[in-house]
Amino acid sequence: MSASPAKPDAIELYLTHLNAALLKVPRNEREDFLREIRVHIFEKLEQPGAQIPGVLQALGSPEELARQFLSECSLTKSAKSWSPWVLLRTSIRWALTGFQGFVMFMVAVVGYSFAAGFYLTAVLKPIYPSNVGFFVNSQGLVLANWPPPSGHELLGPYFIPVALIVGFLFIAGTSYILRLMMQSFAVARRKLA
Amino acid sequence: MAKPLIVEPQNGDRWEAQLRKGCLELAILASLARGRLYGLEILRVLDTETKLTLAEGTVYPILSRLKQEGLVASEWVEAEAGHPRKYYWLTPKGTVRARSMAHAWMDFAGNLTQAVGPLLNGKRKD
Repeated sequence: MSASPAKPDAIELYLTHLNAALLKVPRNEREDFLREIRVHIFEKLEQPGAQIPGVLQALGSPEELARQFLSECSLTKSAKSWSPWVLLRTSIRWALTGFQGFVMFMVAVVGYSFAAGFYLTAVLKPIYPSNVGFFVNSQGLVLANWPPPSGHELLGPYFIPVALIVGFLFIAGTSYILRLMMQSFAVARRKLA
Repeated sequence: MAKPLIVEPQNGDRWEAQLRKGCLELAILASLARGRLYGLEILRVLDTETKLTLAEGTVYPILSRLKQEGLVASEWVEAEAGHPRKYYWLTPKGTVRARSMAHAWMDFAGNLTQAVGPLLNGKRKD
């Protein structure tokens, strides 16, 4: 980190306020942003006649800067996406930022895992027809087992399209819930900021 | 530093502030059409060429978003002397987007310039 040896208090105070207002932003993203602002301040101060108060004032207040960053940042963007990849990546980044982030992450993992599971059974059905299916027995519902599960297989040849449709519904449903959560999260954070 | 950029326009002129803000994204993309620039260089281009007077900090959150949208890419470059700098440049997607925004702007500005003509010439259509 480049900082002059004697760090003037006003600059550190500015950056501390900015950091505090951005605590909910994932650490990498926040540190990169703070580093950029810090370099901006010190580089401006190298210009002839530059004074700390003027440089900080020109930058805008830390609260205003944080508010702008939050309203521009990833959550708002991802909340408009339907791509499971974008939604999953965003929820991973937010997993450790608080309870709401963790719940979002769990919804993403569980929902997309179910979807992946159904797609996998659709692929395996033609290869292992007696092991994979929609079996109903004393344990309840079994989708796949080695050795082959006991009980009746209900769907037969219809298993593959049904599994693909259910897999798709899990993807769409999970994406829909994640988008709603991210939108409400983004609105709450904008109000907070 | 010659003059501090103005944070908020005086007399509550929200309309002009909103207009400037709305144009900032295009102005930033346009400034990057000339090559790799870091934040302060972008600000200098905006200040000298577009007179978009906003809080200086405003450009950094917008750059972050443009990066997330894949319109610009960035890289920290460590300098041997002086400060490390985060350079930005347009991605191919960003170039396409900047061009389409520029076309939209030209259409919009052309039409509106025509529409506001009577105001500037002092003519009235009664």
